[in-house]
Amino acid sequence: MNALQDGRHETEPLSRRDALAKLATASVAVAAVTALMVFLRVPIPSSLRERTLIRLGNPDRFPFNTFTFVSEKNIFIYRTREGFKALSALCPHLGCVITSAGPGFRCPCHGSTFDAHGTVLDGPAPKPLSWLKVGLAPDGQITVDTSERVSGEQFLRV
Amino acid sequence: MPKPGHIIRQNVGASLSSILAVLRRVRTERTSVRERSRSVSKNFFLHMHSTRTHLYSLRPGFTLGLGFLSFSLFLILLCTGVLLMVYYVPSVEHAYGSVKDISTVVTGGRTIRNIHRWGAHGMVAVVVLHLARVLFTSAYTGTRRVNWMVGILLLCMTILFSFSGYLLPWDQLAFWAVTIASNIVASTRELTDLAGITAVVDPGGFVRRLLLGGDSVGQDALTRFYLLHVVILPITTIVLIGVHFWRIRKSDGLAIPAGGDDLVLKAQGIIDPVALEEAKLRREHTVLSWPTTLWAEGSVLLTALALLMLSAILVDAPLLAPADVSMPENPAKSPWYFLGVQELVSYSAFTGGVLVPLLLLVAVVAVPFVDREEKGAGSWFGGQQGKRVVIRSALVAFFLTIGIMTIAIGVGWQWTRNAPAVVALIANPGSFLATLYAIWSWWVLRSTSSTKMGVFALVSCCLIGGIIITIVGIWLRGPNWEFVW
Repeated sequence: MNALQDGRHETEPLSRRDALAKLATASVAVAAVTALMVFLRVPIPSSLRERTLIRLGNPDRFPFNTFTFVSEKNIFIYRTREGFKALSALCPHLGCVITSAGPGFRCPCHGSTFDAHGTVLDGPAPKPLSWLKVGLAPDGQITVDTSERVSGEQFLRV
Repeated sequence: MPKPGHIIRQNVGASLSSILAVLRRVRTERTSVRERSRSVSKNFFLHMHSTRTHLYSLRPGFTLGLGFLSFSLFLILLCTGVLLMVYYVPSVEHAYGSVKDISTVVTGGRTIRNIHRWGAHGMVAVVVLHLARVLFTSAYTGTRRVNWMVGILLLCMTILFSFSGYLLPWDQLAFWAVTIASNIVASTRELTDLAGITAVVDPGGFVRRLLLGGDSVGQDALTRFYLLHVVILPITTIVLIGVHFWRIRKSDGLAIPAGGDDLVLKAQGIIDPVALEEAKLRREHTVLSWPTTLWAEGSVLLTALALLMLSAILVDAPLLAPADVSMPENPAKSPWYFLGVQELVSYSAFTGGVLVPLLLLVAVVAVPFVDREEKGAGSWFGGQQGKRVVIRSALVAFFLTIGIMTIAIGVGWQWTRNAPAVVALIANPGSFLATLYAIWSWWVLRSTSSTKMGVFALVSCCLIGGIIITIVGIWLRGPNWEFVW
C-alpha cells in the first residue's frame, strides 16, 4: 500500500535472478541476429564471375572510321587515325544491346536513340552511353576495361 | 466330395460378399450426420474445413470459386513442376536443350510443360481476380485484416514464381525478359544518382546482385532463380497457404453479410418468420462440409484441370531460339502480366518500374486500415451505392487513362528532356495517372463520407488503368517499342 503510494515499486532493485534471465535472453538475441546475418551474408557474392578486362584481339582487325561491334562482349570499337575508342553497347535504360542506326545507335527494347557521341536523342534512357577505357595487353591485343568509364574524347594511340 | 474349383468359387464368393459388407457399412456410416462431421474433423487434410459450411459461402456468384481455383492451380503447378524437374538441367549449357527434350522427346513432356506454363499464366490472373473479389465484397475487415496481408504476400509469391520460372528455359524470351526486369530493380540508381549517393546507398543494385549473383544474367542467376523457383518459393508459399486457410477458420469461415442466414433460407422458400427461426435452430442455413463443400471444391479443381488440359493440347508453350547475349528479341516482351509495367518503364525506368508498382502495393496493403467500416461486409460492392461508385470510377479511369496514354504516345514524352532532373525522374504516365486516381478517390471519399467508397474508387481506377496499360503493352507495341495500331 505504502509502496504503491510513494511509487517505490517502480524503483525496486532488479533481483539477481531477473538480471541473469535478462542477460540470457539478450545473449540469445545477439546470437540469433549474428547467425541471421551470417546466413544472409552467404548469398552476397564476394567476387564476380564476369571479367571486366576483356581482350579483343589484334588492333588491325578493326577498320577505320566506323563502329565495329564485338559480339558476346557487347562493345563497339571505334578506330580513327588518332587511335581507338570503346563504347559500351548496353543501353543505360534497362541493359538491352543497342544496334547501329544511321550515324548513331538505337535500342530495340524501348526505342532509345543515341548519336555517335553516345548522347541520348530520344527515348527513356536516363544518361548517355558509356565510353570505356581501352588498353593494350603485353601481347599487343586491344583490351577494354568495362569497369572504367572515360570521356568520349579519350583515344588510345597504337 | 465337392470339386476343388467349387471351393475356390465359394471362398471367392464369401470374401467378395464380406468386402461388399464392409463397403456397405462404410457407406451407411458416412451417410449419418455424425459420421460425416467426424470424417471432416478427424482427417488432417479435411479439418481445414469446419464441419458445416454456410450456404452463402457456397454461392458461386459470391466467391466465384476464385480462392480454391488459385489453390487448385497451385497444386497442378506443383505436380507438373516436379515432373519437369525430372529432366530439367539448371545449367547455361544444358537448360535450353533439356527443355527442348521435354517438349520433343519425353513422353507426355510437351503436355506437362504446356500445362505448367498456362497454369502459371492462369494463376497470376486468378490470384489478382481473387484479390479483387475479396476487396469488392469487403471481406478484409476486422479479424480478416491479417489474412488480407497474408493474401498479398501470396500474390507477391505468385509473381516471384512467374518471374523466376521465366528464366529457366534459357531461351531469348527468358534471357531478355529477366535482363530487363533485373535492371528495373537496379533503376533505383536514377534516384540515388540524382542525390549523388549511389556509391554509398544502392538498394536496387544490391538486390539485383543478390538475385543474379553478379551484374548480368548468367550461370549464377540461373542457379539462384532455379533455387528460388523449386525450393524457397514453394516452401514459403505452402506455409503461407496453410496460414491463409487457418485464418479463414479463425474468422469463422468466409465473410457473411448481415442477415445472410435469412437470405439463404428465404432462397429455399422458407419465408414465415417462425419457420425461419426454427430452421436456423436446426442450422439449415448451413450444410455439412462433407460432402457438399468438398463436391464444390472438387468441381473447381476438375474444371481447372480440364481447361488446362484443353489449352495444353491446343496451344504449345513458346520456346524461342537459345539465349543470345548480344542480340535482344525485338520487341523484347515480358509475359503479359508484366507488360503494363514494361509500358510504363518505356517512359522512365525508376518511376514506371519501381515507384508506381510500390505505390500500388502500399495502397493495397493499406486498404483494411483506411476502410474500417463493418457495414456491407460480405456482399458485392457493399450494396447499390458501391456499385454506382465502382461503375463511375471505372468510367473515369477509362477516360483518364486513354487520355493520358494518347498524349504520352501521340505527343511523345520528350518534354521531360528539358525539364529539371527531379521532374524528369518523377514524370511518367503512371505517376500522373496514380495522382489523378488518388484525387478522384479522395473526392469520392469526401462526397460519400465513406472510406469504403474511397477504397472502391481507387481500386477500380487502378484495375481499369492497369488493364488498359497492359493492353497497350501487349498489342499496341511493335519492334523498337514503336506504337502500332
